[in-house]
Amino acid sequence: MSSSLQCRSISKTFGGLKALQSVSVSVKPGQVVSIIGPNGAGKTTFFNCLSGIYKPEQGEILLDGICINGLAPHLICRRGLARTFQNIRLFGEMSSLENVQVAQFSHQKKNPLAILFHNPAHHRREEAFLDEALGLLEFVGLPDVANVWARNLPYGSQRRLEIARALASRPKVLLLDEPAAGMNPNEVGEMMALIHRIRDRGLGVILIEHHMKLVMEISDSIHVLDHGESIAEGTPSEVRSNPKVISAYLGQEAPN
Amino acid sequence: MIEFLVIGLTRGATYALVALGYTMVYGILGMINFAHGEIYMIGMFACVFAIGFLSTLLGPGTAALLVAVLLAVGLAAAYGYSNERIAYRHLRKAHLLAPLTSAIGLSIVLQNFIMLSVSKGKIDFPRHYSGPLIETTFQIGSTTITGLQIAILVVTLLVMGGLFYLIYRTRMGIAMRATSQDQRMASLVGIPVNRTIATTFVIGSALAGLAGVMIAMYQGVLRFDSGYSMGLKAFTAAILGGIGNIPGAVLGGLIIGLTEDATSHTIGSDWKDCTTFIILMLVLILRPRGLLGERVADKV
Amino acid sequence: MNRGLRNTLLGCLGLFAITAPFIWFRLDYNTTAQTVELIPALSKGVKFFQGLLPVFIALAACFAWQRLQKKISIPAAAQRSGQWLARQQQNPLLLPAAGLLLFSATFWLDAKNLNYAVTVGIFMLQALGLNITTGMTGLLVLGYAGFYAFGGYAFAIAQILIPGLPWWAALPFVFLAGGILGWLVGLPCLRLRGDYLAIVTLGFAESFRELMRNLEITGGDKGISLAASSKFQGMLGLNGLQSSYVFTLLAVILSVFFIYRIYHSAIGRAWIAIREDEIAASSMGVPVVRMKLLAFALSAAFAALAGQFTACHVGFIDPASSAFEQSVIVLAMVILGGMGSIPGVLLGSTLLYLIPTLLRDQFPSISDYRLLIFGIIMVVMMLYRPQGLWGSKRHQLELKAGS
Repeated sequence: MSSSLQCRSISKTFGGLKALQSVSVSVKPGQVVSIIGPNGAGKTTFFNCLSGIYKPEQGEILLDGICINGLAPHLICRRGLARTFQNIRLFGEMSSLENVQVAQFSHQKKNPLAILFHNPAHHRREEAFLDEALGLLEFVGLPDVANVWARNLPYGSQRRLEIARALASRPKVLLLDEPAAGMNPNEVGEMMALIHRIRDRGLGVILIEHHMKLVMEISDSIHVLDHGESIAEGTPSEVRSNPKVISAYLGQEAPN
Repeated sequence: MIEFLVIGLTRGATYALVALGYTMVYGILGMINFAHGEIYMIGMFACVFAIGFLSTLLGPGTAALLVAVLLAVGLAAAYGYSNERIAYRHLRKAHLLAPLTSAIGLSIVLQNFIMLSVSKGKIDFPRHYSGPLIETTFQIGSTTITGLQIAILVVTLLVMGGLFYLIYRTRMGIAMRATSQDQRMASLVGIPVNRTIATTFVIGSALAGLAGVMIAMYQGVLRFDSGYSMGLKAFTAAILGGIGNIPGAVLGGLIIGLTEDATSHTIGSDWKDCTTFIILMLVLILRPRGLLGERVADKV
Repeated sequence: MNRGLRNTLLGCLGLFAITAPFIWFRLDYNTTAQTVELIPALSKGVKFFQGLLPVFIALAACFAWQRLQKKISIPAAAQRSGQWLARQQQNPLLLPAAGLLLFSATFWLDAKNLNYAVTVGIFMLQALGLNITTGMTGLLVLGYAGFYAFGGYAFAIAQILIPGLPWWAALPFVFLAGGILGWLVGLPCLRLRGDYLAIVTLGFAESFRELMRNLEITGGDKGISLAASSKFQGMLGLNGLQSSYVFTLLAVILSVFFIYRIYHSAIGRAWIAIREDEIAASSMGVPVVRMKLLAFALSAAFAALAGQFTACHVGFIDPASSAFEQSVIVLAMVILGGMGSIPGVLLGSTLLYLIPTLLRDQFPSISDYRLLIFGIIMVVMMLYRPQGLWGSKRHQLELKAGS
């Protein structure tokens, strides 16, 4: 099966700092690829390059064979790449349902006459999108909070809401930036189940995580970044026993 | 030619003083202090009031001028501090629109306050005090330079020297630079963030007040809305130099002063303000980070 | 004495100290010696505070209300009426009844009050427009009056060039022209940061004013007076003023409908998303620049509409219409009412026009204090209630404890 997303030799520099050097990652539909590495390794920078917030100086990003380098974020989203954020960037003063609905924007027809006069066809379309949004809230395990403002949700729900929102844009590839950060073991287990369900829908998932148990159990392949470079790549068991990886994590508990 | 240079630099120096306040506050809080121009205006009025106060107490005398200048600068600094405490401190974490709106409200309050309590029209600077400085002149070739212009240039130079020393060589300066880079981290290493921010405001406002005093003497007339146009020009200067960049503010101020002067003599003084506005537009559209500013990426 | 109280007292003392020189003293110029003296002027100080009397009363009332609320539980009757009000909001008869009431006012309001009503209506149109960029999309616009004046001038010039041009024929074009102008002004500026955009719009309004003052065709400082046939005409038994009112009311109702529909659509959600977090919005597929331009253009269009209405109502337009003061008043209305909230800005416009105007009849000198009070309102609102009086409480439910 051909890859949904292929990144070749991505490099990004900020002033004098080489944040990323020749990083290559690819993911196929239904596959989960994890990116791990110490803090400051460039993981989120990599996501930012993928989703269009930064423009990489070098390298190629192909989504379903189409080059998406340097496109504006909303165009990249439209082509099928969605993401969540390390620091949760929800729309605080909008309800959970509205947060999800925003991401449906690129698929909705914005005919001014229809908006003003609500013809039956418009009603039907709106109903369909509404059902889809509510369905996504259920899918991530938040069936009851449709009308609650995002900023009033507890932390764990906010993380899941961000995922529901990203899914609403009907992506082919989903980037999850530390979705399990700050969660207790129960919640991590639920997140793992959620990622399984997402994978089963046929999406490709790229995951940045620090919870090693989650990473090891869910990943089909793992990339290890350190100081902007890819120092190892392979299946969980390969990476686990890689001496370079262990030394990069020196001082932290070795992945078990 | 030299005359143009002197006039342009004199005005430019005052723009630089006010621009420094904008740039320092932006550097440390990330916001444009819309009410800063009004502090300059308060400095102008405070000077006249201080002169009145001292001359009522001690009779007219030149010493009164120096003390009055200090009082005026002090009062301007006090207003700057109050602005920060009342309108900005509690809004630091709020959505960007809140401190901006608060600043605009404050600017309106200050302008109207002076309009209602002092005068709706213009008031004069008492010539008895600025006279001696203006009448002392020096000749360089065919150009006449007044003592006031020299005083302005010299004082500005000294003050800026003092500021650079403060920022780059003292502990307070380090605190200010640290807080402007990362507020949370600065507080975690023990820097008193509130006090540092307040100090920044105080210093910036003192500079603006000083500029107000100087222009009051130079122009001889004060209006409650003087702060509005000075604010816009100084803001342009700060942006031109690179907002957040201290040498940039000085550079920007001098450039704006010289350009204004050049326009005055070539096209006509009515178009002075227009030039500044055009410069602002060009900078914002073509090179928003200014001459010396750095591109700052949004932390995602 | 607890610390909070002590700090407040110290603060008040400090404020008093720094404002005292200006309030309680006056300057006495000695023109021969060219010196000045400072003379205590108690009466001047007292007069200053007299003008601020309504503000003090209002603040004291709010403060007392807050304290009382904590001490006294709301009596059952008040609670029941509050619930009755809430239920009425769902009542389908509410809007038609209100509409009937408002339209019938054409007959039972006298000329002075009708005039007030028309002015309020025009402010509502402006506030609704500004609400789109500043309230919903989060773009601070300081030069709104520029677009407003543009509308007035555009119509005034049009009716000079085409004598006898009826106002309703020009209306769609003025609306469109305003939108195009907004789009053009927004094009280079919307990529800028929030505060830069505010300054640029301010510059635009000021430049527009200068331009109108200097051109021949725009009549310079005096502005343009409209031909009688281009103003609102009496019709169907109504006089000019009454038909002004009817058309303004109609315009407000249609505008509210129009904006309400857009607000509750994908476009409205996109705007609010941009306000909340531009980068996240962009990453979720919202074309940020295009949406901002749309908001800007619509805002400008409504401003132009309001401008034309003003010209048709009062019969002339002048450069003062573009003054910063105008922009500030509308901004204050949006902020007071609640950013993004449609009923909020309607309420804000009404309060911020009617209260000073009615007070002016009682305290004639208060008009001088109008702007000062608006400034105070802006600061106080940001500090204590940034969501406005009738903030957009869309679907806000407190999360039930324990779930």
